[in-house]
Amino acid sequence: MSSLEHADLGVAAEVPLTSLRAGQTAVIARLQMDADDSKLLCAMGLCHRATIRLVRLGRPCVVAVGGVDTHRCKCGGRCRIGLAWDLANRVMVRPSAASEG
Amino acid sequence: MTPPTIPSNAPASETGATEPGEAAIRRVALLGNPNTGKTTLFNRISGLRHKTSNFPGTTLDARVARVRAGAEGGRDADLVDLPGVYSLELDQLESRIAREVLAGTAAPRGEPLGAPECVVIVTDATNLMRNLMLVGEVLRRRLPTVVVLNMMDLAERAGVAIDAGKLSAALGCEVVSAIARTGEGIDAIRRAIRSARIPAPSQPVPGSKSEHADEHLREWAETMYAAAVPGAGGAGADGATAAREAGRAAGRALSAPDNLAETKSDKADRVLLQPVLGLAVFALVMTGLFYAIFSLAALPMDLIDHVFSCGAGLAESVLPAGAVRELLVNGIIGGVGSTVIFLPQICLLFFLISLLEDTGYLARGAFLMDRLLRPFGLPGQSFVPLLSSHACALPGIMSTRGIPDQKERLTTILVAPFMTCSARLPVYVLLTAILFADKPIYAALAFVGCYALGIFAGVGSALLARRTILRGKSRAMAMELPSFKWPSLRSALVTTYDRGLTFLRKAGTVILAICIVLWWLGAYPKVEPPAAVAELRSQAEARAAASDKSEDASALELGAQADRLEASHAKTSSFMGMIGRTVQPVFAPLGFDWQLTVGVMASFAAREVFVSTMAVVVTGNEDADSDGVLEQVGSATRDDGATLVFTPAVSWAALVFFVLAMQCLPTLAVTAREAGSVRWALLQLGWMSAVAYLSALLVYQLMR
Repeated sequence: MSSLEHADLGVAAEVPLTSLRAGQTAVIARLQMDADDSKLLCAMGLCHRATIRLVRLGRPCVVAVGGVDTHRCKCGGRCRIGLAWDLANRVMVRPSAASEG
Repeated sequence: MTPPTIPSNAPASETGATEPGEAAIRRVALLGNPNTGKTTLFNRISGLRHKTSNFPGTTLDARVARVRAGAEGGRDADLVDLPGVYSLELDQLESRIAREVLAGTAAPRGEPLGAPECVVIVTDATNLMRNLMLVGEVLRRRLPTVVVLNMMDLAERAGVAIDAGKLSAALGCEVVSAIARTGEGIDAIRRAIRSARIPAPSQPVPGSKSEHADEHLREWAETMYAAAVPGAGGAGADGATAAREAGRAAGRALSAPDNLAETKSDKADRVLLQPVLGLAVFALVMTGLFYAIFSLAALPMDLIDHVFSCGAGLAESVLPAGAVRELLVNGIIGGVGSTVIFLPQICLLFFLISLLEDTGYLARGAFLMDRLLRPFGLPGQSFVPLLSSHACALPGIMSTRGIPDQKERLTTILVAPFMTCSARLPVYVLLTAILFADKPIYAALAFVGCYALGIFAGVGSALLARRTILRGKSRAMAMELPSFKWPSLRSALVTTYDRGLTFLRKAGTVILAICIVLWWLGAYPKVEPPAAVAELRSQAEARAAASDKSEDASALELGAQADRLEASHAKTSSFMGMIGRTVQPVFAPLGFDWQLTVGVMASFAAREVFVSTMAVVVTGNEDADSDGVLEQVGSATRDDGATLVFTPAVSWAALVFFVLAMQCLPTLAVTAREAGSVRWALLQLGWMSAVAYLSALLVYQLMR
């Protein structure tokens, strides 16, 4: 789970964020929503290629944002985004193989 | 003495930036992502020397403070606190306002238009990458810019060491490290504003129009981030690509602990966001909050009441009887006093909510309530304003400022007065006592029913508004959940002071004017007392003369009867009484006679006036607490001398009417102010009055 290497992420299939398990990490593949919502999430750090970990699955879904590519967002635990279920369902991610076990 | 100027982190000559010159700084815009400590920084810089208004045509707060930005003796600059935004390019009100203020096409109400001479961007040093995207959007606009790296202490604790000098060189503008919570770096920010400069034209900030604008902006932010991280190499204006590659290399080499590991806040959230347990905790917290408000506010409210009573007593003893004394005692002191008495509740509410918000818990509460309120078109953030409105709609409406979406905020403002406020309670007491004189259980159930009816009408109206006049896509609930932390007492005190002052200003202007007008309508024209009054007085004098005792009981009772009759006659002959008689046919289908209509009309100013007005109209005794007065009101008859004023059907209809009607002028004044237009207050008045009238009509016609 601790590894954020992305070399093995390219092969994983796209799934909705809500299909992850709590604690699982993933990389955002695309935001399947209108431009306004997409821009907002992107501005909040949930953009294409961003690494996230699902902290809590439910209503709301809570995700930790880990930064984009190799740049880790060192927020010291501060950076948590709560998402309504409907919105989280439209965030498509590629699960990290390292965190699936 | 001219304050010393610190050397800038990266001199203008190095970056090619252009200095605006000290004399030019008239407006400074403060911008930043939400939760970056922007407001704390604003409070630190301004202290209590700021004013709150709004941006014209919006409900967004605009706080402006005068700060020294020029040389000694020079002109002060206006520091404008812009709403927190994640991006300037979003299709949201906050983003639009921030864009327009930076472009000089919008300004806080009462301030001249014009672009700011300096933009201060507050960034969260612990989350710099995301914050840099907003910095990039501002730099595109070619305004003198200062970037503040706030929360540097937390960043250092998290193992993030940011080189402000390198970041300054990369961005081409001043970069200042600060800890707003403790005040560290505030002087440096003031100095940086004075020497702020336009970033070098060669800055590779991507445009906003290109197809891949977001992607380019993020790549630019990555480059800047890499430049600021020690070990990533320098990143001058000409070496962006190289720095970016170096940054990526440095990023790969980072061996810090996994920043996605579970934190204490995550563990707490597992409980606090649970559908059942989380709601139970939230209910407990809210109960504690409102218990604290009611219990702690009681003493200062009594004190304010006492001060106004003393003031009225003093005026009565000093001034000769007449119109001036009546105006001062009954119109001004009485009217304003009955509003200002709510000040402790308002201050406590904002103080405690500010503390709670600062801990990070309120964001969780908003998510919990979102599920319950969303079906009615309201966001989770509406919960606290609606709950507060059960104490008084004034603080409830004022606390809607935390609702980010304009339409959702307007909807909450419009329906908040449906909640049963404490001013309705005397009316409920009177009418349920009449309906269930010796059945306290039924009276209690009727009370609960009144609360439920208010909530039902409120959420129902919200749903209707969101599907008609305030139709629009609900903003998806996406909110940053800050980690739990100790709240800032100073920030809470500043917020409390700000809100309290706003309320007092309103009480001293609009509400004062309203009180004077209503007093005049109730006190004029002056009429001669009826013959029966003189007869009762002469009888009382005769009894007193015949009696050996200095204070004969029967003589006193006759005198009191004469006073009541005179007061009742004066009330019914006043303009208010005339209006009541004229308007009575409108209320006739509800079963209201002219006396009850006078009560309804008089309570238009404030509901609690209903009981004392009815006491005056039907018994002539203004003190509704007097023994037997409530019974007298309950047994009062109409002009035919046989039919009760309050039959069961009329009492039920009146009860429903008072649950639903908008009868609080101060609330209408605050609605107009907070919603940004009088038309919203008129809509609120019209809609609530119509709902109240039709519901009462239905009840009366079914029960008669």
